[in-house]
Amino acid sequence: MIEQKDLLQHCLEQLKAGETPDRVLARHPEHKDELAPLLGLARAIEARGAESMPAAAKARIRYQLYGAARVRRAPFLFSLPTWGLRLAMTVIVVLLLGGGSWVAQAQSRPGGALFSLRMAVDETRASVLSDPKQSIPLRLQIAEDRLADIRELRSQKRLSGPPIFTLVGETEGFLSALEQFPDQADRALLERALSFVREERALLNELTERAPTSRARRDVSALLELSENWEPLLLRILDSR
Amino acid sequence: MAREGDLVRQAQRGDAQAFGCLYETYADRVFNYLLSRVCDSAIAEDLTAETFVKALQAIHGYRWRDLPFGAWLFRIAHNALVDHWRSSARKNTTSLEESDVLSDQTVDPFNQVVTWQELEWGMAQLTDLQREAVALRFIAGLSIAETAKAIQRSEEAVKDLQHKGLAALRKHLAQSAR
Repeated sequence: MIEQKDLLQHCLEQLKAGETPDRVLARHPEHKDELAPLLGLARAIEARGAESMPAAAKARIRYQLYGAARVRRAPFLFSLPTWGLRLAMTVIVVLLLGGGSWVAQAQSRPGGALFSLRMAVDETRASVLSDPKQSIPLRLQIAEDRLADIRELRSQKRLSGPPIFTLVGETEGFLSALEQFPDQADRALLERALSFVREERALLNELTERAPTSRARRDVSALLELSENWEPLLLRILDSR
Repeated sequence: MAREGDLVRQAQRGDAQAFGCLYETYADRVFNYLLSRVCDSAIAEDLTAETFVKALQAIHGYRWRDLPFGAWLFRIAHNALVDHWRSSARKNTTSLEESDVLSDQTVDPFNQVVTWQELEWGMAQLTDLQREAVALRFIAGLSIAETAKAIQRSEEAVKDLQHKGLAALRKHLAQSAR
């Protein structure tokens, strides 16, 4: 005689295979009263499990992961005192994958429906350029555009967390490429980058002081900590010229 | 699954995009699994981040033959959860009175809706292993074999935990709805 646990599992498998509850239960009429509520409950729980996490949360974690991936390739950062600090230092983004209409992205504005598409296309543009001499200035330009976006959003009082993460991510993407190919940037570009990162850090500093919630303050402080390395990196490359 | 295996191998070689694909595949399920256990989306988000960062840091040591990737990931998520409970020194004991309106258990069982609050409260009434088996099977979407690997029990034991867990959960939810 088949055990209840096996019968339940058998029915769950049939449902998963696309059978209707009625048909599944009709095969086991003697156990229908016991099985129906269990199968129904399992389905109700599965429906909860199938929900998507909030998009902003998903994006925040994605940034942390790309940051952590980058830190993994830079072992010196692991000598920092605590895991928490390390994690805070790793809140970065590099990639927003995707593609789409090149025409539409040109018309998009911060906060608009196509804004994230524009960022994705920018990122794709930079990542498909295999020549660092071309991709490094483009990455700086993209980061500068993001800073302009933030200023626009701020002036409209519509600034939220994700664009700030994205800005820092783009800057990280630029600096990461520069760190890898320091000889591919001329002095003028390095000086422009220096001025840009100073401007960005000043903005992060200001946002930290004015963050509306403790969570927002924590997020922006983590980004500010991360940005401490930017200026020394650029100065080091400039000094080597 | 072969594609997942390829992604894991690429991620082990340091390919951030491959790990990103694994993240996209599992993020919702890991988050929902953790949300079902802590019933606080901010904590669930932090624990999800912690799970994936730890997975990234440990992936070079992961071996497919020992454990399917999903089971390995949910074991990390479970450990993150245990650490969270240890550090907060208390298990969340939300009372049902504080939760949303309960589902009507007399409705068609295949049309019932269970809220996160009901689920958290009901799951809290189960044994640790029943709770783990139900969460991994129905929220995380792991198979019996993957769940068995994740909680280090036999497949027969998982079927038993699944059956008893669902029955107990149904009983508790039905009693509290009266």
